[in-house]
Amino acid sequence: MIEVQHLTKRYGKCLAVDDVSFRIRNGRIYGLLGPNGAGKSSTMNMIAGCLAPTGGTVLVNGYDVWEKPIEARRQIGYLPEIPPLFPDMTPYEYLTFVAEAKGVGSELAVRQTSEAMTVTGIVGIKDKLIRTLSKGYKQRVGIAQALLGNPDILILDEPTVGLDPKQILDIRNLIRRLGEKKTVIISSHILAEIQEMCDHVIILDHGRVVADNEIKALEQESTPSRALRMSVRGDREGILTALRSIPGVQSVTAENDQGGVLAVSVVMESEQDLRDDIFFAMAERRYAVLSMEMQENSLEDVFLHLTGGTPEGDSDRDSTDGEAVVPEEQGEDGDRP
Amino acid sequence: MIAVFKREFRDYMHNVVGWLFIAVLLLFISIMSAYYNFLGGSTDITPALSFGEFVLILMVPILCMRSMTEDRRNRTDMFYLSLPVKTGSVVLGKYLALLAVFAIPTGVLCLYPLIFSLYGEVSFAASYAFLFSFFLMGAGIIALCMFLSSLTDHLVVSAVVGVGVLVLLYLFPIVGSLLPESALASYIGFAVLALLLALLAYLTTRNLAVSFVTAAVLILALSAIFIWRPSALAGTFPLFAVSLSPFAQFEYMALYGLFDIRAIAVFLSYVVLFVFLTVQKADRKRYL
Repeated sequence: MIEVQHLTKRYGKCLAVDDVSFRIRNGRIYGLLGPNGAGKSSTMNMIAGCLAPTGGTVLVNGYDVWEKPIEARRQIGYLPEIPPLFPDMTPYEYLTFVAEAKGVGSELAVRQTSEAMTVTGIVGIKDKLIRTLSKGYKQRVGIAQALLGNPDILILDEPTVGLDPKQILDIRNLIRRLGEKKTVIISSHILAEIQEMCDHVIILDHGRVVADNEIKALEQESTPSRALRMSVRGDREGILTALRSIPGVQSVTAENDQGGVLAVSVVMESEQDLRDDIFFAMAERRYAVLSMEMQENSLEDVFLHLTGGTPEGDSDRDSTDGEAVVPEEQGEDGDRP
Repeated sequence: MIAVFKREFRDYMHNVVGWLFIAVLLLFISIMSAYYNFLGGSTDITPALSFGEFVLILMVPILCMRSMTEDRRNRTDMFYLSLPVKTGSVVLGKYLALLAVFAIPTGVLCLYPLIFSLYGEVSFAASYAFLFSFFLMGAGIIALCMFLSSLTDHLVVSAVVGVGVLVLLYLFPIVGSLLPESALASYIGFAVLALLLALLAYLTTRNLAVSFVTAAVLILALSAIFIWRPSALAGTFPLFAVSLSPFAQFEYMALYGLFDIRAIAVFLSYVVLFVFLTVQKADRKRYL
């Protein structure tokens, strides 16, 4: 378990992490989510013992990262944003070196190296020079080194950044598998990634924790759903008039009309579930309801709500990519000023 | 530490730099040995090793340029910081790997007195004492160049600065001896040295306050001595310049054929000081 208490990091005049507190429980996958400069990498570096906090404490399985640094670091396998690899070594040589550097005994080192290579799927390339590997494989080698020493906790900083879609899927699957046995903390600015992989999300914005909850709970508690999407067979005007006449319906928007089937979006005035009323109103007028579903609130909505962004991107932040609402981190120390 | 040592040593031996260092050092010392010992008919290894100083000035910075710089370039410095070991043991592993590379040509040179003994009388005690001093002098300047490599992200800058600093250290006693023996000249010489020390403190800690306090304390202490007992400063800077330069110490030993404990102390001081400073510099990344 990790307990982060009042963690603060100041770079000169810039407050990168501002009184951050949270608790990481064992056996789950946690996501640190936030835009560029939110303080994700700084927070992870401080948990891993690579960066001294300006204030606050981090306890890793009961060991203070700064008072008992060796014991605390032994609990953690850390993959920084750029995998720390030696290009002139093969993955096998590199992992053997890492195991020895972490103080793993020689017999155990052989076993752990072999297991790490199997789990991360790099057995086939273990004798190639690291410099010749693709980014995806380099990332796998980076994850394999984090697994050595059998730490309870894995901290992976932006593990999918810079990978192609296939590699991203592979790494996500790998992290999910690792999460079955270990506590995993990943950072990302890609909402879908956190949503897909993590049980729990901690959202950081301007160095502060703005949300710390289960993903599902966060989606539900922040912005309750009031929208409904349906497709109905019948004449367009009749359907729209019937829907607007139902008490509690705030607005009705026709989205498209193809082959006599109208796709329509209905927004309700309150959280009241009007699906029964809508169904019977349509049935009474002999309009066939082909489908009807409540629109789920996404983490994206929650994120935008909490950080005050807009889907087009914050005015003071960089451009967005197709998947992420939060902009890509730029540079290798994206979280630093 | 052992893991880091093995990795680094392997790296030097799989890389042209390690072999280049060994080859160039052996080649030039052997040429000088052929000239002095075989053509000159002497069994004294001292002149050939004295020439080795110049090879070290050129080659040690090239050997050491990657030791810390490469980690900053590859981002493996973060990996070392995240390891469950002290930074000191990582730096020590790297330093011992450099020493091991230097030990190879020194080990080969240890055979030379045995070869000379086939042709004449050899003072083995003097020869091996001098070889030992040569190794310790090399150990000192290797520590210095390793520290210099921790100050920059660029290999070439690291090597060029290393050569520059070693040349300065070589010339330092000559410059010192050119200064008049007056108290004022020594005061100015020490004041310049205090400023250089403050610069070193800044490069290590990146803390202006630390470097300012270092400079202020040293210059104030110096000024106090200069005002109250100027005679204590008269003529001390040239002597100090000789003490500070490992090359001057080595040449003194070569000139008089002495095994000087003070010189050994200077070499070991270089090792301790610059390994310590390199550890501080490497650990400094945690305190950005």
